[in-house]
Amino acid sequence: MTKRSKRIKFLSYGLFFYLILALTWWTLLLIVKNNDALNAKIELIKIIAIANNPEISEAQFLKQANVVKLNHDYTRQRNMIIGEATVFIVLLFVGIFQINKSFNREVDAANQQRNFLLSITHELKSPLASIKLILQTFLKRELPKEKKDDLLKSALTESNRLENLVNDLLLSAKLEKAFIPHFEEIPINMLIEHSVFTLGNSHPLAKINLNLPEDDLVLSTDKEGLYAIIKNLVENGIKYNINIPEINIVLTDEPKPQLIISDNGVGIPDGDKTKIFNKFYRIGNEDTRKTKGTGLGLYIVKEFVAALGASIEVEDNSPTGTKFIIEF
Amino acid sequence: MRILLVEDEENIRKVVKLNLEMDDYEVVTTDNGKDAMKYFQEQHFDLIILDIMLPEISGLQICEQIRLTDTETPIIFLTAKDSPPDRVAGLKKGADDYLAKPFNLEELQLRVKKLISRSQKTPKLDMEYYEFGKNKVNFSTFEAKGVNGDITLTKKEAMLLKLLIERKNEVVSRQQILQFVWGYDVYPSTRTIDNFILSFRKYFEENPKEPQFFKSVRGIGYKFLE
Repeated sequence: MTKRSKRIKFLSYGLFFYLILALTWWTLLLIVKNNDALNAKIELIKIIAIANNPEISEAQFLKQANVVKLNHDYTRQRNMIIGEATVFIVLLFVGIFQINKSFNREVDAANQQRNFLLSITHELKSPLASIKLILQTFLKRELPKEKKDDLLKSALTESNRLENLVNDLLLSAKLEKAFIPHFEEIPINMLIEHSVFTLGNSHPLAKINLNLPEDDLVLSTDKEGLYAIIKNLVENGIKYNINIPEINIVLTDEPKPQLIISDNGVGIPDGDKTKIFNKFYRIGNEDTRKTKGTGLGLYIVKEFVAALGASIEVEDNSPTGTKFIIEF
Repeated sequence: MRILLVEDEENIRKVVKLNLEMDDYEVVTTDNGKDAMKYFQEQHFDLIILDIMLPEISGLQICEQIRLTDTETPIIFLTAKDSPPDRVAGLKKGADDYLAKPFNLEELQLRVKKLISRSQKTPKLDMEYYEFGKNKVNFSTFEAKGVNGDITLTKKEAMLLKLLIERKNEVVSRQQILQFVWGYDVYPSTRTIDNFILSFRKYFEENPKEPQFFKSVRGIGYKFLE
């Protein structure tokens, strides 16, 4: 939170506190004044009553119709004042709570936007910088063949990285506005096996275990969407990991078709579990970040899951890592 | 000339290192701030190139830390953050230059060359004779008349004495002494300098236990006062 928003928060709490104090004070004052007015009126009636009948007793006086009515009115007014004050305070609390909530949401959104700008800047410029440097080195230097090949490979890796990023950006833009899933009957086992084969090739160090039912499960779904879901979840499990990555993919048919993808990565703190599917959300501070990314992956997953009419849940995996459960 | 390159993008690190090495610099690289601080404390560098977005400790923090003890070694930021406030923040932390990615290789080479040549203020050390208090030192014959008698200085003693006198009233850090007098680029953790200073006090101080000329500055280095 910035200094300015902290100051605004501090000011609004101060104002709130003052309002409560002022309200309490005015309420008490009103009750006291009302009481004084009642006593004065009763005193007046008493003087008149004693003038009319000097023998009147206190009990008789209190039973007089106008005194009873005065007392009754006073009690009603006091209850009204207390009631009004209570309603006011409750409304004030509700209002402040709502303001606070939307204020926090605004701050979160601004932070997210800032994080996105930082990460996207970094993610776009770093591969560009690498490729440019490599090309300039080629222009400037005479290099031995081995060195040349090594640099060319690096340049290719960087351009792939750039390509992936551009794809993610385009995909998330498309998902927002123009995506219509193309439903067809697909044998899911095959699609998963195929995805894992592709992912295994690009992440040779990771271990990806499959546990599929013997009979091919056929679902009416969108190929591109399902592949994007699997790819993003598996790659996250590999990326946010300090162990040798091990990903388990389980497909079950009982009672409903479920796809469970779990990893042995660093896991997701409980406070972040509800936010990770937000667009551009990344856990932690972008300035001192261990992993590179844009906060688009899980957003893409969420949007595809919704488009396919499925649901997704996130849980802690034991002993470490995260478990995503997709129910079709 | 030695350069410390702190960059967490593997390919940028590789290519920048390659180019600087082809320009005859010795390049030490790391991808994180923790190691960067460690290398900085243990070794001599003529220039430091820092990325800003780094794991755990940001480049800005590293720069700030370095500037607490060393205001001379030139620092260049090499970063994807290129907005004017980012540049200002970087320069405010004590960097000498700021280069935004993607940058031109030649531009980096030129800036590195310029900053290094500008910071090479080797001490003049051409003085032949010096007097302080009741002491007289002749640097050409290595002979000295101290308050406690005549001494013949060793070559290293003479160099250290010259360096301290040259920087009169300034703190000279252990690193600077080790680099200049002993020519170490990687600093050994010896008590050698302490022993030299003890000898100086014995030669030149009236009361070596309460030195008037050769002061230690705890945790940083030594100071010659006159």
